[in-house]
Amino acid sequence: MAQILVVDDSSTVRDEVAGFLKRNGLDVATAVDGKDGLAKLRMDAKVKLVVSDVNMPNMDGLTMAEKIRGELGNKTVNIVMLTTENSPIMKERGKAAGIKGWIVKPFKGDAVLATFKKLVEA
Amino acid sequence: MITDRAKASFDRLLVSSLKSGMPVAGASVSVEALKELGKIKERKIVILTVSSYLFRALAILYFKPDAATRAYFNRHADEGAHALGDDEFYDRVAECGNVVVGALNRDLGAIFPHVGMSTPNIIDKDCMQYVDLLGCSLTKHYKIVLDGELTLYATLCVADYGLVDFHVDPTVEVAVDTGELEMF
Repeated sequence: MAQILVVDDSSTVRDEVAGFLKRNGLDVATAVDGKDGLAKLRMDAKVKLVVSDVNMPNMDGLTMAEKIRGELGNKTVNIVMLTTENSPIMKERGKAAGIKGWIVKPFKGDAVLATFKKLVEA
Repeated sequence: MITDRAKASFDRLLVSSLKSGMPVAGASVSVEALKELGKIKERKIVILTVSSYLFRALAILYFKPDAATRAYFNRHADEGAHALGDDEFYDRVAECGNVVVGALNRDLGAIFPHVGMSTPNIIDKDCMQYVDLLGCSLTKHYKIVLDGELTLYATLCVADYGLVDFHVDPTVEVAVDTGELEMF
């Protein structure tokens, strides 16, 4: 059972983000794309926070967020996008899907750790 | 057609993206424009595109899978760095390209809201001979030196499908808070 699910097609990002969060006492699982992320969420209802890339093969992060709220009916998990994108159009789509926040890569763990912990405890 | 000021702006934006995206773990970086690439020994490239209905920009980063390059891209592993396997190494170079071209995409997106960016692809340098088929009207080459010792190369190619005219003021820095969480 993980508290946080990190979804990114880059193993570099998965290792960096998951490694940082684990070293700071959080339970973390990973998924390689949106499709895998949805499957992992179906299996683990204890996940409190999803940290996801946007541009990924098979299923992108925004589509995954929409399916988490719609198909999965999960209205409570917090979703934060971690991406190189900063497009207002994408952010609006994310807001409509109920995502909680947006981070422009590269990941800086110290800048977000306290908020991530709050989102996990909420 | 790409106007001269648009060509200069593409060039300026890519140089800025390389300077912000290439350094790993605080490395120094210098970027120098080259007239030609010449006979470089790099055999692999990571390629990404930023596209719109007006243009397609290709950013290409040339690299060697040698010990020095592997060591450089392994620097940001902040605990017990191990020797990188091929898959890990290629993924790190690809992610570096993703961050560089992500910055270019954001800057171009402020001017052309409809741009979209590809995911990175790593292929053999020999594939570059086919880029000519795109009929690019802008091609620029760069030499990148990291920490004064590791040299990589980059190329920017832009094919146009209409009039591309924009200007990026070199004195104005567009600030993006990378790494900060923007809450909704």
